[in-house]
Amino acid sequence: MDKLKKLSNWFEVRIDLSGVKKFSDKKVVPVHQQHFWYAIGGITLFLFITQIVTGILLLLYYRPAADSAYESVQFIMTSVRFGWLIRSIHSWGANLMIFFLFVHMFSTFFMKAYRKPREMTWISGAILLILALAFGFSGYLLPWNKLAFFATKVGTEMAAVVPGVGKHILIFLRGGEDVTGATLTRFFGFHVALLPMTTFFVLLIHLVLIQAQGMSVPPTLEKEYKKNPKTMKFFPDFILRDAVGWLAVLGLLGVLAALFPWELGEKADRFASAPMGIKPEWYFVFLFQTLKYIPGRIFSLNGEALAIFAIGLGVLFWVSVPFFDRRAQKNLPSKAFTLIGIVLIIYIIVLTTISYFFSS
Amino acid sequence: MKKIEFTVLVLITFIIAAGAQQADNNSTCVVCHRDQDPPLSTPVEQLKTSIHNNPKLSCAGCHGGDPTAEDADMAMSKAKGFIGKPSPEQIPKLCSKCHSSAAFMRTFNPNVPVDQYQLYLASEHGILLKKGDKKVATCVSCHDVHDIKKANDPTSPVFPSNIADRCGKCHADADYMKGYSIPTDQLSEYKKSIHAKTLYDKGDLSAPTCNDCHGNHGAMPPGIASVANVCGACHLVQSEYFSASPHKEAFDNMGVSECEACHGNHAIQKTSDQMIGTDEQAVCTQCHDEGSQGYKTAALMRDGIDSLATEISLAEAMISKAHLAGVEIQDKALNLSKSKDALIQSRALIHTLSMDKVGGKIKQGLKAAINALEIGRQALKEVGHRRNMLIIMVVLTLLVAGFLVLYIRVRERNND
Repeated sequence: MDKLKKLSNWFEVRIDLSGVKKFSDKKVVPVHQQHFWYAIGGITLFLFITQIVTGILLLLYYRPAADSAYESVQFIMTSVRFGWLIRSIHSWGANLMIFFLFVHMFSTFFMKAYRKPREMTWISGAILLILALAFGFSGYLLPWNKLAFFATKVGTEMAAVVPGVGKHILIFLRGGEDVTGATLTRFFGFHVALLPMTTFFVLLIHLVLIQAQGMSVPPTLEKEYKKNPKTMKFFPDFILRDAVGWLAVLGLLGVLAALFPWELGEKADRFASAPMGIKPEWYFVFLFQTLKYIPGRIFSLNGEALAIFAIGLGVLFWVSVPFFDRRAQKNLPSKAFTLIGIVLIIYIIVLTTISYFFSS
Repeated sequence: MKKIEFTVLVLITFIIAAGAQQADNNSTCVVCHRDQDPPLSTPVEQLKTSIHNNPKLSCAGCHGGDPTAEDADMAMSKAKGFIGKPSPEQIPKLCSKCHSSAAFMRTFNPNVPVDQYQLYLASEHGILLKKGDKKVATCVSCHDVHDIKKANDPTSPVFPSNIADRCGKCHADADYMKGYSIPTDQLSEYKKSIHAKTLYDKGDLSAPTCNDCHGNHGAMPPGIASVANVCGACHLVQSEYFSASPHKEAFDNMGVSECEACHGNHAIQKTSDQMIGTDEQAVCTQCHDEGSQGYKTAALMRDGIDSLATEISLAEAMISKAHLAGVEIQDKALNLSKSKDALIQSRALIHTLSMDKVGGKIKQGLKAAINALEIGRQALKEVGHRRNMLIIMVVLTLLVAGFLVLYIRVRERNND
C-alpha cells in the first residue's frame, strides 16, 4: 500500500491531478427506481472497447483485397491461435453493441434525458448510433463472402435512388459502378480509419458532456428525488456496479462465440447468382422490409426514392427530438412523444419479425 | 461542313433502307397475297418473323414466277418458271440452291455450313425420298415452311429443347409410321431419360437430344459398331476404357450393341452403383453366370466401390458435424474432395474391366477418405476443447463478478 501511495505521490508531484481527484470525489450518480438503465450506456462503451481490441488483433492478419480477404479470414479462423474466438467476439460484439445502443437510446428517450441542458448529449448519442450502423454496414463486407457481397450490392443500390446525386453517392461508396475489390478496400478504409476517428471525437464529446452534466433523473421521479435526493459516488461505487455488468456481457460474448461461432460462408463471386432470401444485418431489416411495401410509383414519383427521403426525414426528426418535445423541456408530461417511441419499437419488432418469419 | 456530310449520310442510309423495304413490300406476290384470306395470306404474315425476311430473297426464289409482273397471271405463269407449292422431292433441291452455295451463303454468314444437302442425300430420309417415298422428312418438316427461324432461336422447332418433339411429330405417330417397321415409343422413352431431365429440368442445352446421336441432316440410326463412338462423343473416358477392354471384342463377336447393352438407349437412366455387381439390379449378371471369373470380378468391384462410398459418407457426416459446431475446416477438407474424385474415377474405370486399375483407384480414394475422417475427428475434438475453455472462462468471469458484488456489499455496509 505504501508503494502505491509512493507511486501516486510521484505522479502528483509531476502532474497536478487534484482537479480530477476533486471531481471524482464530488461526482455522484442519482439513485432511484430506474437507475438501472444508467448501466446500459457503460455496457455499450465496454462493447465498443472490445471491438477496438479485437479489431486491432484481426488487423494483424486481415488483408483487404478481393483475392485475399476471404482467405485471410479463413486463415484467422483455422490457423491463427484463438483466431476463431477473436473473430467471433468481434462479430457478436458488434451485434450486441448495436443492440445495447438501441436499448440505451430508447431508455434515455423514455426517461426524457434529452431535456435541457442535455440536448447536445442526445444529438451526439444519435450521431454515435448512425456511426455504429455505418461500422456494421462497412464491416459486414470485409470477409468478402457471398451473403455480404450481395447485401452490400443491394444496400449501396439504395443510395442510387436519391434524386440528382444518387449516382455519385453510389460511385463514391462502391469505388466504381459495381461492387468490386475497390469497394472492399474502400469499406476497409471507412471501417478502420474514417469511422473510428470520427467516432472517437463524437464519443469524447458525448462522455465529457455526461461527466459534466451528470445523469438525468426522469421527470416522473424528479419531484420525489428532489425531496429525498439519494446518490452514490461515481467512483468507485457506480464504476464497480458497471464492472459487474461488463463482466456479465463478457461472459455472454464468450458463450455466444463458443457455442455459435460466426460463420464465414462461401467466398463472394460476382458472377454467381444472388442467394435466395438475401437480407441485410438484423438492425437494417425493418427498413428493408418497409421498402418492400412501397409501390414503385407514388403520384408519378419514384416510390423508393420517396420512401428513402421519408426515412431520412424521420431520422432527422429523431435526432432533433429535444427541440420538438416542448412539453418535456418544460418538465411537463409529454405522452405524445412517449407514444411515438412505443409505436417505433412496435414497428421495428413487427417488421423485423415479418421479414424473418413470414416473408419470402 | 461536317454537318452537311452527316445529313447526306443519313439521307443516303434512309433512302437505301426505304428502297429495300419497298422492294419487299411492293412485290406482286406480297401485294396480292396480303389481301387474301388465310391460308393464302398466311405466308406473308409468317415471313415477317422469318430469317428469310430479307430484301435479297424473294418468294420467286422458291416458287418461281415473276414478282415484278403487275398482272397476277403473268407473275404466276409457268413460262416464268412458276412451280406453285413445291413437291416433297423438289424441296431439298430448292433449298440447296442457296444453302449449298458457299459463295451465296457467305454474304449472310461466312461460318454457316453448306453441306446440308449432301448430308440429307446420305440420310435415311434422303435415301427413302429418292426411292419415291413422299412421307419422309424434308427440310420443311423440321424447319417449317415460311416461318423459318435460326436454330439458336428458342422459338425455332430445331432449338435443342424443341427437337425431340419435332422428330416425334412423325416418329411418335404410330399411324404415320405404319409400314416403316420401326418403334414409335422413342419420344416417350427419351422423355424419361437422364438426358431429357438434364435438358428440360436443368435447362442444360448441351444435353443430348435426337440429333446429337442420330445426326441432323444426315439422320441415320447408329449401327451396332458405331454406338460406342456416338456415346463416346461426350462420354470420352468411358468410351476409351471400353474400347480397350475385353468387352469390346466380346460384344462385337456377339453382335451386341456396346454401351446400349448395359445402359439402354432412348430411356437411358442415371447410372448407379447398383448396376455393377451381382445383385438383381446389376447388369453384369445378364451375361456372367455365378462362379465365373466375370461374376467374381463384378462382385469385387462392387465391394470396393461400396466401401469407398461408405467411407466418404462417414467422413462427410463427421466434417459436416464439425462445421455445424462452428469449426471452419473448409481448407482442410481437400482430402474429402480427393476421395470423391477417386470414387468418380473408379466408377469410370469399371469400363476397363481391370480389377487392378479399379482397385488401385479405390485404394487412393480410401486413403484420402480416411484422412478426411481423421480431420473431422480432430475438428470434433477441437469443438470439445472449445467448450471446455468456455466453461473455464465463464466460471472465472462469474467468480470475478461474484467478488465484485461481495466487495460492493462490504462497501455498502461500511458506508451505512
